[in-house]
Amino acid sequence: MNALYVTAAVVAVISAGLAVSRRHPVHALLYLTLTALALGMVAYMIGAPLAGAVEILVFAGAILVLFVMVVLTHRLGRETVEQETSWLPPGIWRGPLLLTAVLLGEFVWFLFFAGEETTIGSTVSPWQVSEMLFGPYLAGVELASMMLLAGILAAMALTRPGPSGEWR
Amino acid sequence: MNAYIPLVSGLMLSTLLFLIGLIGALVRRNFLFVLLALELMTNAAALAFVVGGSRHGSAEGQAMFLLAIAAAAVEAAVGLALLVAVYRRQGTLDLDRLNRMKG
Repeated sequence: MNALYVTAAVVAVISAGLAVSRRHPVHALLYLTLTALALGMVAYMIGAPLAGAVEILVFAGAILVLFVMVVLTHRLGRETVEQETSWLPPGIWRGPLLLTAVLLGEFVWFLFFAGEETTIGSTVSPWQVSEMLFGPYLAGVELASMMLLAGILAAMALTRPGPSGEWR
Repeated sequence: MNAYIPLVSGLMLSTLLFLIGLIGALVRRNFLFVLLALELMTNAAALAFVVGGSRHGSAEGQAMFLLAIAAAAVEAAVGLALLVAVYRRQGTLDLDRLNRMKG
C-alpha cells in the first residue's frame, strides 16, 4: 500500500514541476491535470475517498478544463507559434506516457490485486463529511455558494464589451 | 503500518507542491502561467487539510477541503475573466508590460 502511495505522490510532484516549467500553455495545463489525478489517488490512499473524487471531478474535470477552454478559444498560444509548428516531435510523448502509465498501473493493481484493506490509516466516509457540511458547517456552505455567485457575476461583468461593442 | 507515515509524508507532499507553485508564480511572467501556479498552490494547501483530517480520523479536514476547492473555482473563474479582458484590451499577457493601471 505504502509503495502505491509514494508512487502517486512522486508522480504528482514531477508533473507539477513540469507544469510550471513548460513553454506551451496546453502542455502545462495537461501536466497540471495529471497532478490533480495523482493527488486524487493520494487522497484516496490516505482514507479520504470524497476528497479524491472531488479532486478529479471538480479540479481536473471543471477548473482545468475551464483553463484549457480559455486557451483554445482565445488562441493564447499564438506567441509560441514557432513552437507550435514543431509541435509534436517524437520525444514529446515520453514524459506524459510514462507518468500516466504509472497511474494506470496503480489503478489496474487496485482493480485486480488489492484485497479488502486498500488505505493507509482510517477512512473518513463521504457520509461523515456530508453530515459535517450540512450540520455545523451549513453557514460555510451558504457562504461558498454566495462566493460562487459573486464569481459568476464578476466574470460576466469583466468580459462584457462596452455599449458600442468596443473594449473600454 | 506506522500511523505517522501519512501525516509526515502527506504534509511533505503538500509543502513540495506549494513551493513548486510558489516558484512558478514568482518566475513565470505570463499571466496564464501565474494563474496556473496559483491553482497549484491552492490545491496543495487544500491537500494539507485532507492529510490532517485523515490523521485524526475526523471529517472536518475534508469539509474544509471542499470549501477550499470552491474558493479555487471562483479564483479560476475571476482570474480567467481578467485574463480574457486584459488580452482583448492589451493584446499581451506579459505581466512586465501590464504594469500600468491606467486604462
